[in-house]
Amino acid sequence: MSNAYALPFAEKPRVTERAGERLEQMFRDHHPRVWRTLRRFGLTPEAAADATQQAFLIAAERLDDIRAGSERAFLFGTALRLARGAHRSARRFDLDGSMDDHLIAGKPPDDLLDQQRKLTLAERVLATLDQDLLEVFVLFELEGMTTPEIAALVGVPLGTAASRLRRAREAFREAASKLERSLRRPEAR
Amino acid sequence: MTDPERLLNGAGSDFERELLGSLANEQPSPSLSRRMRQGLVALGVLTSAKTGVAAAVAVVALLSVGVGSVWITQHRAVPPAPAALSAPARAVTAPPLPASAAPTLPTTVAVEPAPAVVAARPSAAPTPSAAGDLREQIAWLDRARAAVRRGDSRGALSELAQYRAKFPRGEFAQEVTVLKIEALVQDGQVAAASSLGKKFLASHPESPHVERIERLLGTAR
Repeated sequence: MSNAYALPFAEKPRVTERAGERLEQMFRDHHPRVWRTLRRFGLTPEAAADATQQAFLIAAERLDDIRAGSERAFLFGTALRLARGAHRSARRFDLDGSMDDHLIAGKPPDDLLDQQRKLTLAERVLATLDQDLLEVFVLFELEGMTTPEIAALVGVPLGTAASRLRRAREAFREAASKLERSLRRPEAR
Repeated sequence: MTDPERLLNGAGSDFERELLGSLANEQPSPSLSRRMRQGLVALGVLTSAKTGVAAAVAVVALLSVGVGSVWITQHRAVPPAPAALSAPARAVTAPPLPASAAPTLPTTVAVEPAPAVVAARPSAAPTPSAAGDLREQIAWLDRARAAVRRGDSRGALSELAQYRAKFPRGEFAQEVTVLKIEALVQDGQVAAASSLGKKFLASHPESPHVERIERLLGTAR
């Protein structure tokens, strides 16, 4: 490893003022959703933050290739590939152990316990989906993309994307239904 | 081809919409967003003008992330972008970005989270026993919270102690800790509450529960 790698900031990408403004706008508009999508793909908050940084650095390096209006698609496509290469996170917490570095939008602190409980349960359900179904499900149900957009992003034919979405929804609903039934059963103690 | 109605928009049951709503509403905390920005400032992607962050501070912040610093080293160590990255301009200008034009990352760029937190993603559907565990955990938590609300701090602490014994790696560690601090304050065990709270704040400075715990400890003083 060269000294340059030990001092990585000596190799900053050359970003013009105009490109800097565009990147700034991209970061403001998209970084929470990029981070959240990475979380939904199974990364921890920290790993999602690192991958988000990577996505924006890659965007900076390829800025001239990103057509105005397709910034979100570029960032999500990059995030998807980063997530595929990253390790999956454990979805269990140690007591007094790891804490999610996140907030639930618009919720007052008193409501956080319930919100986080829901989030934990929701993540449990999401974790039942296979990776290829998970990607399509998250992009459609949570990020509001259309099936053609997802097909292009994931790199599969439209019919395959539609089929994956149908199976993903069935799998999600089945897992959610199981969970709901189990939560509603009278507790035995 | 017509897309189906989204579960979150009405096609799902109330329970499904609640689950999806919690997933859709999660956001990075302000401090985590700040750290992402600082890292990108340090890398020269963003300017520091928006936040006034000095480059030196940004460098320290980025390195303190740990995983991020590993990645920077890896990123700079990767060979020049493969030909596949140099997609034709036509491909990358077509909305939405075709997958073939999106960057295919060299394996050496992949984020490698710290081993301590790396594990395989659960892949099996919730088994009855796993779901039963969750239900039991939630019931325990609800009982502890109810006890705190009616002023039965001893009852709450007892419930929480039993939870810890039964679920040493329970799903709701964070809620348990916050409730325990609240119960300790209510019970007059201010020193114990303060000790646990300080330990928690030191370990988890970015936790969304920080404000709640600070308020509880402020009340206890």
